[in-house]
Amino acid sequence: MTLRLKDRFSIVKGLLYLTLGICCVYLIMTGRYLNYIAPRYELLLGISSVALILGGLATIIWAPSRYYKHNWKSVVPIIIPIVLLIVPPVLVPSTGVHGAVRVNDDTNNFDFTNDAIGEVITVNSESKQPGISKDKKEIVLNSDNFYQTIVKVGSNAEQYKDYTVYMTGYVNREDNTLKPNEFTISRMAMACCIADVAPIGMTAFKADGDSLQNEQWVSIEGKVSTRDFHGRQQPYVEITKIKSAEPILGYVYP
Amino acid sequence: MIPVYIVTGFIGSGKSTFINEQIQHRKKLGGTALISAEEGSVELIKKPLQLDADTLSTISPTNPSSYDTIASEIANYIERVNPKEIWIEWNGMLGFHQLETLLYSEKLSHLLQIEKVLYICTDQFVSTILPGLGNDVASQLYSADCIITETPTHHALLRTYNGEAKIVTQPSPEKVEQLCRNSTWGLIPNLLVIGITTYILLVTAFRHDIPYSIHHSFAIITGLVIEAIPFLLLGTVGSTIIRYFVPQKVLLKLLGDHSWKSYGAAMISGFALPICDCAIIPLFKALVDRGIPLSVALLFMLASPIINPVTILSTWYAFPDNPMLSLWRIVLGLGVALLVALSFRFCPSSTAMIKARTPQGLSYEEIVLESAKPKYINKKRLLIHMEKEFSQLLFYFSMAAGVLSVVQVYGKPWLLQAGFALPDFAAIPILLVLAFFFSICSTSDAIIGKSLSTLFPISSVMGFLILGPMLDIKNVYILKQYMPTAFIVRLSITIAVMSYLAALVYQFLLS
Repeated sequence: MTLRLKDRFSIVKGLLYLTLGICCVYLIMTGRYLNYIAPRYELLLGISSVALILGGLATIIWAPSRYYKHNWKSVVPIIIPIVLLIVPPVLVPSTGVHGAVRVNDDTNNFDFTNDAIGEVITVNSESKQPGISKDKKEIVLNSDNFYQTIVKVGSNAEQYKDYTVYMTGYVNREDNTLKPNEFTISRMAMACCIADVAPIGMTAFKADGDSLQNEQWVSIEGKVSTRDFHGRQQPYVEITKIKSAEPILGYVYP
Repeated sequence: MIPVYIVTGFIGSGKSTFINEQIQHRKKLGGTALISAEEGSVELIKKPLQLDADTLSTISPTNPSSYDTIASEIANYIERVNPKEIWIEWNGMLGFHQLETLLYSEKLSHLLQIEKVLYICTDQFVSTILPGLGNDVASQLYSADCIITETPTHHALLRTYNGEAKIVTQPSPEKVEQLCRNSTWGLIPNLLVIGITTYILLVTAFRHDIPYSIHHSFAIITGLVIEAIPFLLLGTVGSTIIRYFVPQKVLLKLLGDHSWKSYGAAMISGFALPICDCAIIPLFKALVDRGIPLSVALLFMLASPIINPVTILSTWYAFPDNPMLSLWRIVLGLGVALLVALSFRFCPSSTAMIKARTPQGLSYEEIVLESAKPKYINKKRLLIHMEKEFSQLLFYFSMAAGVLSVVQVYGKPWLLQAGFALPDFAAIPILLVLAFFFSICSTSDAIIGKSLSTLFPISSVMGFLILGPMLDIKNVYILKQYMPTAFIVRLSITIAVMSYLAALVYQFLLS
């Protein structure tokens, strides 16, 4: 059967499914899917994109011969995600960034030699091993272990008392129960998808902490301390060193 | 291209009279050619090209030799008469796809353009004859742009065959002429293209002038849709397998009586059937039709979407920090389903008499495949079925995602700022109502539930997760085709009350 006699509507539909599948593949290849959904969905999304591509091809190849009535409304649900993926919305508010370049992942740079916040900082150019080290009594957070480590430390505060913490995050003052020189060093955590992102972080204290701007990105070194919070031991970090950091665009995941 | 007007309908519904009236009204008798495939009692005003219905009934889309001769005959006739427009009186018992095969064939497709399809019917035909007729008649009704009736009595019933057509009662010839002129063809695709182009231009050109909140809403919709696609696909594939590959006998053997074995099987069989809530309702109807007790079938319909492995998996995925929630969802959900079903067992609904008629519910391509090769399952048919189901699911999901993104972006800050802390017992009804209106597929509602859990207490989210799979806009819509309204109202109220109680129980368990 020549293409002319085939049903055009089915061919259009097939092409749309094909496009949607290719968009999903593109999201995975570029890693941009991480802006929308948590990494554990990668495999499922990959399988789905293959299914969409194959389905689209089959819809074109097996297109029936022409017929009269076409329900054009039925292509709307396929077009919506395609348009949203091809012309993606702005994912980060432009005002929140103080002129800094955003990086997609953490640099794990806890070298406090060149301090930008104007404090005297001792030299510490040692590169840090991410994770909790019992020998060195050190906790180094990065994007990969941020969520898990904070949950771990939070549920066993006593155990990690006096550990040295290295972390990068933004100054979060959303918690109204904190004093002006206290804040949370937070990152945005995504449990499933962008609809459920919420900050997660560790409460931190600095004598002159009220001078730090809200949402300012910082890297810190500090000591884990605990205090009573409604009958439960809650960890908090006493900051010893601090410097401004480049904002990290990526989320942290459970 | 010569415009073609097709008039179809059951014999005796007044097609010839209608055509005569139209042609007289238009005063274009000279330029009009008539083609008839019906031998009615009323003579057409002008001698038509008479086609033989028996020959037409052998037309098969896959066999060009079945229509080649007729197509040549029509082509010759057109060449000889050279008309300005053509009216075709199509036979009420022939498939519409046979006419399409003919008109879109190699010989005719470049000469003719179908302008309008009009279906004429009498009240008596719709109420008594139509339900017993097969797919061929359904395909005619489905393809009509305009359905002409005697009285408005059966408009709702006709809607189930064709959701888009204009249905009019005894229109005047002027009105018909106007209906035929109104162009519906190409309007929607054009609007689509214009709308999308405008959106893309606006978003690209004024990207940074658009408030961030709008971008954020769109980002949330994107995220939800991307996350849901795998689960929607899984649900689609699962339901297709059930529909075409599991013998119904097996189901019947398991669910045939009022015993506890049947109730148990009804509750648990959902685990082996990865179907979501919209796909289960046609199965519910099939079970009832085969004589399975209403309460057992109801239990099957209500329990399956909750015990469905895809639902369990997505709930577990959505609440990684709270695995017990997945378990409680199953336990409480099954409890609610069982109590609702038993309420119908011990207090049978007198109105639960099931409507006699079953609408086809087939897509047009399926109708064509069905009439070409009845009961024949092939890869094309599976694909068409899956595609249809997937795009419908995606549509409802996108709608729900849109509503949710607005709640997230605009509602959430307001709720938080106002320090709006609802007591749990009041938050539950709100989420029950949201579950109804969001109409999210049961295989992915946990994802929405997760994001709601940042706004509402977890016990109300449990209510959301229990009620959603059993009752929502799309379920009611699908169920309405099979069951009387009184039954649906009773079912809805029972489910809502039970879900409320289940959520309270969950809250009690947590505290």
